Amino acid sequence: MSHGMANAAAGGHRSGYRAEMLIQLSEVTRRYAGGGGPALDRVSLSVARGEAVAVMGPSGSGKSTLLNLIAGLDKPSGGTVTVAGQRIDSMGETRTARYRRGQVGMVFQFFNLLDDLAVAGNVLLPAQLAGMPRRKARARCAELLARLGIGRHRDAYPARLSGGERQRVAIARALINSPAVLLADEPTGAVDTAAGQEIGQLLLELNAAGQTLVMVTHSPELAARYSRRVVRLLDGHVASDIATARG
Amino acid sequence: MNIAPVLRAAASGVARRPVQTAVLFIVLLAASASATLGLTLYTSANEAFQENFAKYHGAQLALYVNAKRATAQELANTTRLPEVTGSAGPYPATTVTASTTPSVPGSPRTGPRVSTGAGAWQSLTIVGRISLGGPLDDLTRNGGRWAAATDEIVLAPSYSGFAGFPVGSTMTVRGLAGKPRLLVAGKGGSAARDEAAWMTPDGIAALEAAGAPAEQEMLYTFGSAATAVEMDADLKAIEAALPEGAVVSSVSWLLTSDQLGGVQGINTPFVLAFALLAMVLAGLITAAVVSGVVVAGYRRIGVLKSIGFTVLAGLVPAVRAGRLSATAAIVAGQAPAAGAGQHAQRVFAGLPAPRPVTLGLAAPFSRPGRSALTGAVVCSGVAAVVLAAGLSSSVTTFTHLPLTGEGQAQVTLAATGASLAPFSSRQRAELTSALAALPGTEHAVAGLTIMGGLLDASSALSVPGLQFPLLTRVYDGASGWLQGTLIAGTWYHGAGQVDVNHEFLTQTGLAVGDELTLSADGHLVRTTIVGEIFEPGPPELFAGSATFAGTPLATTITQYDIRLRPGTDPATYMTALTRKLRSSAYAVTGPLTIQADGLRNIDTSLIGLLTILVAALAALGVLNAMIMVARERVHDLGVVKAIGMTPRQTVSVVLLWAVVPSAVAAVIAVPAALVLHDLTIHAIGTQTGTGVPAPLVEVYRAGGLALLALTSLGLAVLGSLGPAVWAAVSRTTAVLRTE
Repeated sequence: MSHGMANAAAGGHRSGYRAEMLIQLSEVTRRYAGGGGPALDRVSLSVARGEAVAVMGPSGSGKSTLLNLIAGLDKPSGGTVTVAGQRIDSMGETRTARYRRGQVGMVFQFFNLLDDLAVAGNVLLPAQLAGMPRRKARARCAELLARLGIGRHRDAYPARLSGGERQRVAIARALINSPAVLLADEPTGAVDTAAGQEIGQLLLELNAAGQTLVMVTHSPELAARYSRRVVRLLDGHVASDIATARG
Repeated sequence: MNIAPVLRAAASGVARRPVQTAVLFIVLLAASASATLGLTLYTSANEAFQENFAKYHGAQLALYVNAKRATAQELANTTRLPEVTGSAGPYPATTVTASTTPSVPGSPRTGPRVSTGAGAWQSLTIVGRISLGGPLDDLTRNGGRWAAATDEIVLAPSYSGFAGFPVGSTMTVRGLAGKPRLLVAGKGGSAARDEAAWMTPDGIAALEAAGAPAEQEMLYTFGSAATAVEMDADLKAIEAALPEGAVVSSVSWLLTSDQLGGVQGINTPFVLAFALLAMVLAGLITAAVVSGVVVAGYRRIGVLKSIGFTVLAGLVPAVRAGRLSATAAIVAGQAPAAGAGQHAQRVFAGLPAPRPVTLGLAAPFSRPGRSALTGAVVCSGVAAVVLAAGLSSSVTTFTHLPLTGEGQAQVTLAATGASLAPFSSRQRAELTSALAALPGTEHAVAGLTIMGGLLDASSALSVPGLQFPLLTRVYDGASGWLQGTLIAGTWYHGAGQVDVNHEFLTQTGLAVGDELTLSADGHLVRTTIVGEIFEPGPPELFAGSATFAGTPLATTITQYDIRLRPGTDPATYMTALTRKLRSSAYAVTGPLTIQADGLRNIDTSLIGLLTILVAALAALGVLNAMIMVARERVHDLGVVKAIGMTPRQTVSVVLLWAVVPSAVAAVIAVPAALVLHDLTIHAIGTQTGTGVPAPLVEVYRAGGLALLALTSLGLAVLGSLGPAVWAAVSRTTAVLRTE
C-alpha cells in the first residue's frame, strides 16, 4: 500500500513508499471570475496508482474543483496537474477530451445518465466515442453490467431504475474504457442509505481489484469505511491528509 | 398587487436571453418591413401617378388638331361641351423630324463635336408653352432652364429617342428651311403624360415659318374619364364638335396610368409573395421562441411561484405554466420528455455511422414539436430561396421575351408627322425598291397600324358590340418572322385568321379557336382566333391583309417593319436607308422600346433583397431554434463532453440536430415553392393582363432544384453553427452545475 505526498503547508507531510504516482497536483490554484478567494490555493497532492482517496470538507472548500481539475473538466489558474504522466493543465480541449475518454471515469452525484438511451446505450457511449470496436465494446458492457448486478436492466431506460441502480449504471459507464482513475463526486449523495452502502461496497471492491479511486464525499462513514486515505480541504487548502483504518 | 417585482422578473427573463430577444426583435422588424412593403405596393399601385396627376393638375386628354382645319372659335366651343370639366389651350404645336444624335459642344479650339452614333431621325412633337404652369398640366423642370429664345427647346428627360440629349447640346431638325438647330436649354416634362418637347410659342412659330406643320394642342378634363369606354365617348364628343379631319391625334391619361400601373402590377405579386413568406417565418419563429421560453420558463416559474408570485407573474412565459404546481414546473423545465426520442436513439444507434453522428440524427425526435418548428422555419426559408430563384429567372425571361410585330423589327420606316399617314402608291414603290437594294435587309413587310380604330373614318376597325381602343396590325406579305412569343395556338397563316393578345381575350371573353367578327369600313369580316400572343398593354390584333380583302385596310400601308441580316449594324443600316430615301417624308427609327421598357421595367434588385431578407430570417429562425435546443440539452451535452466527446464531435452533434428537420423541410419546400412560383406568375399574368407564356413558368431545371434544395443544409449549418460552437467551447463544469 502506498501513500502520496500531502500538502506540506498542511503540516501532514507523509513519507512513504516510492510508489508510482498516478495523479500529481503541484501548487495548484484555481480562481473563479467574480472575486472572492481562490477555490483552491497552491494545493499540492499526489495519488498513487491503486489508491482509494476520499476528499472531504465543507461546502465551498474546493472538493469538486479538485475533482474537476483532475478530470480535465476545468483548468487551474496556476500550478500543474499531471495524470498518468500527462500534463493535463496545458492540453487543448480535444486532447483533454481524449484524455478523459481514456484515463478517467466519472461518477456524479445525480448520475447524469442520458434519458433517451437505455442502460446499455449509456454504458456503451464512452466506448463508442473512443472508437472501440463494436463487438469488444458490447462484450465489455455485458461484463460490467453483470459485475455490477444490473445485467437484467440492460434494455431499461434510466427513468425506470432506482437511484442505486442508476448509480451502478453510471459506474459501469465510467469503467467501460478501463480508466486509470475513477473519480466519484458524492456517489451516494442522491441514493438512500441502503443503496449508498451498496455503492460504497462496490467502489471498495473495484479498488481492491486495483482501480484507483478519488471520491468526494460529505460522509465520514463512507470515507472511513471505503477509502484508505482521507484528504480534508478547508477554504481551498489541504487541512489534513491521513490514512484511514483501512489504509 | 405590486407590479414592480413582476416587471423586474420579466426584464430579468429577457436579459437572460439576449440573443433570442434580439432574434425575435430583428425577425419581427424584418417581417413587418416586408409585409408593409408588400401591402403598400398592393394598395398603392398607381398611387404615385394619381398623386402626381392631382398635384400637377393633369389633363385627361391631350388633343392635337390641324390648325388649318379648326378655328379658334371651334376649339373654344369644345371647352363648353357638357362632358368637359376643365380645359387649357390652344397651345401652338408642331411635329418635326429630328436627329436622335445630339451635337455636344466641345472645347473652344476643337469646336462642336458631333457624335457619330445611330444617326437616325425620329419625329418629335413640340408644344409651345410660355412657362411651366398652366390651368392644366403643370410642367416640372428637372435641369437647365425653361426655353427663352426661339431656337431653344426643353426635352422630357426620359422620352424615348431623345433621352440622351444633355442640357447644352444641340438638336438638328431636317426638312425645314434653313436647317434649324435647336439648343437644349433644359430638361423637364409633364408628370402626368409622356410628352416629348416644349419651346416658346415664338419658337413654334419660327419652325412653322420654316415649313413645319401647324398644329394646336388642347388639354381637357372630363366628368367621366376613368375607363377606356368613357374616354372614348369623351373623345368622340370632341371630334364631333370639330370639323372632319381636324383631329390629328390624341393621348389619353389612361395610357400613362396603365403603363405605370403595369410596372406596379408586376412588382406587387412578387413582393406580396415574399411578404407572405416573411410573415409565415415571423409567425413560426415567434411560436418557437414563445414555446421555448414557456418550456425553459417552467423551472423559473416554479421557483417564482414557490416564493409567492401569483399566476400573473407567469403570464409572460405562458398561462400553461401557471397551472402547474411549483414542483411540477421545476421538473418540467429541466429536461425533455424521454419517451419520444428513445425509439429514435435505438434505431439510429444501429446505423453503421460514428456515434456522434447517430446521436445528432436521433436527437430531434426527443423534441418533435421543436423539431417540427425548426423544420417549418427552414422550409419557409428554402421555399423563399427556391421561389426567389424562380422569380428571378422568370423576371429575366419576362424582360427578354420577344414581342410580336414591331418588337421583332430592328428598323421601322414610317411617314413623318404625328399622324399615321398612309403611304401613296409611288412612295410604296420607292420604299420597296430602296429596301430591296440594301444588302442588310433580311425581311421587310409592309403593314398598317390602326391605333384605337382612329386611323381615319374609312378604315376604322372595331369589334361589334365592344367599345375599347384596339391596336390592330395588318401585314401585307410574309409576316411569320414578326411572331414574338406565343402563349397558345399558332401564328396566322391565311385569310380569316387572326392572333390577339391576352388583354383582347380578357376583354372580349373569347378564347383561342373562337370565331370573331370584325367590322372594317362597314364590312363584317368573319375570322377565327388562331393564337394568343404575348403582348403587354391594351388589346391588340394581328392579321394578314388578305383577311380584309375588299376593304381599305387591305391596301393601306403606314409603315414597314424590317429585320436585318445577321451581322448588320442597325445604326449603319438606318443611316444608309435615310441617305437612300433622301426625303423628309420618312422617319427611320430603331427598335421600339418605350412600351417594353415601361411595362417590363422590374427591379430585380428588389427580389434579390427580399430573397436575402427571407433567407436571413430563416437562418435566424434556425439560430433561435438551435439556441433553445442547445440550452435545453446543455446538460446532456455536458455529460457527453465529460465522458470524452471532443469539441469537433460536439459541433457535429449540434449541427446534425438541424439536419434532419432541414432535410425533411427541403422535401416539402421545393414542391411548395414550385406551386407558389406558379401562383405568383399567374397572378402577375392576371394583374398585368399579359397572359403567362410557358417560358415564364418553366424556369426550373432538375439540377438547379437539387442545388437549391441543398440550401436547406446551408441554412441549417448557418443557423446552428453558433450554438454548436458555443456548446463545444462552453465549460463542462458550468453546464453540469445546472443540476
